[in-house]
Amino acid sequence: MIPQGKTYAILALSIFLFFIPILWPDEFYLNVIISTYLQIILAVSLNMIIKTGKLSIAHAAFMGIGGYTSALAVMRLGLPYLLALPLSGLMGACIAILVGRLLLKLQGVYFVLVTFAFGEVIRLFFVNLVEPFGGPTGIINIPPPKITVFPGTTFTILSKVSYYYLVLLVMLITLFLIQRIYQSSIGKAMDCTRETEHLAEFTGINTFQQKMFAFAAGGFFAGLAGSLFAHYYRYISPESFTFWESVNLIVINVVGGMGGITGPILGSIFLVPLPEFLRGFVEYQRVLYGLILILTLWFMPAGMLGVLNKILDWMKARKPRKEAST
Amino acid sequence: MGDTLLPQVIINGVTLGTNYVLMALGFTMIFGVLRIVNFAHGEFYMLGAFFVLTAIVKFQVSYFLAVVIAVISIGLLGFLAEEVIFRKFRDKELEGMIVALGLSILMQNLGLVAWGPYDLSIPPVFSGVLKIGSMFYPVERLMVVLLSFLLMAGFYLFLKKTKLGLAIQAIAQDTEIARVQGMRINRLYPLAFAIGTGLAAAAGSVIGPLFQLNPWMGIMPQVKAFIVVILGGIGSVPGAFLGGLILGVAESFVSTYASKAMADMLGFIIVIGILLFRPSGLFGHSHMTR
Repeated sequence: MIPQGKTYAILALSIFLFFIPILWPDEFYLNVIISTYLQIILAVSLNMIIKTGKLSIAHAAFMGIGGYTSALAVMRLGLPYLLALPLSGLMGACIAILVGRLLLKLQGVYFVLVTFAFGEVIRLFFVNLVEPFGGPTGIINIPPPKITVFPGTTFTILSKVSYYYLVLLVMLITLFLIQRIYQSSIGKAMDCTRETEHLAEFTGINTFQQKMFAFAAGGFFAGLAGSLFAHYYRYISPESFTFWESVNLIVINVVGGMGGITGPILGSIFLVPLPEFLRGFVEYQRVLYGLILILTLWFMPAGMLGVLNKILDWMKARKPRKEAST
Repeated sequence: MGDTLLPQVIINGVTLGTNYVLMALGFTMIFGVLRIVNFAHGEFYMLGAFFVLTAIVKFQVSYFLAVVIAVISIGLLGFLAEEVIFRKFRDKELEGMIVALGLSILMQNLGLVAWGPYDLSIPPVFSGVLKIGSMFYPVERLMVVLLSFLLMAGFYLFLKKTKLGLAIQAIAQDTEIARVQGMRINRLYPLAFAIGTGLAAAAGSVIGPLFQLNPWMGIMPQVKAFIVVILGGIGSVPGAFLGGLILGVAESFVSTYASKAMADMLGFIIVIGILLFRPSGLFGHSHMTR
């Protein structure tokens, strides 16, 4: 249960996010923020899979599935974007359910290795099938989303500002849903599945079902992110969804802290804009990335969130008891 | 024509297969002993090839000396990596694996800084073509196969005949019992890692002359090593050997009689098939599923 004060703070922060393009209408920064939001959707949905004790390196593949589904649905089938977006999520979820039956039975590192193989299969699929996926060159000229609110009034989401709102909306809905799942009995069952799988089964939790649910939901949100990605950059290729994209999402989770949705959010906010501030040292960007990952695991295994919590605890301990108890 | 194509396909497959075996051997041993999924294995392979290149071009040493230098120095690097980085993550499979991912990112991009993004190549070491019957075979490739088999035989003898090799096997079987028997884990872990990465470097430096060198050259061999290891059962040395040869020959067949694209997919399809029917690998007795 979130205390009331915290709920209001989160609500205020969410509302504040709607004013960012008005307060700060710089295209360059908006672009960075939009990429950060996309990465948050991906990282938090991966967090849900990690919550059940499974580390998947196939998450970018699900993003790719969503991206290609959405692009093809709009360009080949002529579907409206408001249909293509949920469709790409559903496609991600369906494929996650199909392969999940097989993959989620695997334990520990085997699961990781096989999700890695699965991610590569999907990528090779896109590379090798020129029809309809465009082969190595991918799909170009993906149209900007057209959203029909009432019959007759159609918005074309072309500007950075309008795209900002679309991504923000999807991100907030995603975060809200995942947070609700985490707080519900399903979230507790997921925790239990990760920590003590045998015990979880003794207490009547179907651990396989928990994992399937997390994997399918993760596939759904990754698919959504893929769709948003495809129509934002208006170009996708198999290179957009490689193994390294999946690894990035793991890095974000590790560096931010894997405990809940706050960790991956912090991780995305820290790591996604980082390259923008290191423009002068392009070659060393990725070196730093690897270094950050190793050092985080070494010195702060609970990630940025862990450090933040420690600081908060320390500050609370300095205050008189009366305040700490509220 | 028909009767010359088949042996050619098999020989190509064996050449390919020996590459995979060399990569998979070190990888599977590191997992067997240290329980680390070494995601940086391909990067040690990459370093092996680049060290050879640098030794030949910058320091004008002979190819064979360059290989020895590369294997030893990268083995030392592996030793240090275990001592400094992985030591803290012993018995933590998942964390160890993520650290290996970090190391992989780090090494790949340090490689990029050091050698740049463009394809380089090791000056050719052997030239000429061997003619057996009506079949042609480049000497260069033959030497790669020969050197690879020598390395494999050396590794096998090391495991079976030396005290260190036996100790490594003992740890892989049961760490606790090995410890009780008085084996010094703190000494043996970095050594095992050094030998595994040294093998990756050997693979890179032996195969290097056949391919273009770039910082990403280790990715594909690593993918293949994963497939081979799932095929043969993770931690199993004979599994890695047979798995590598089977994958190599199968890929050679498919790319000759079907297409290169199909050959690329083949490994993954085999993996999925194995998962369906033999979840502990073809030869593995390790517990893949609970």
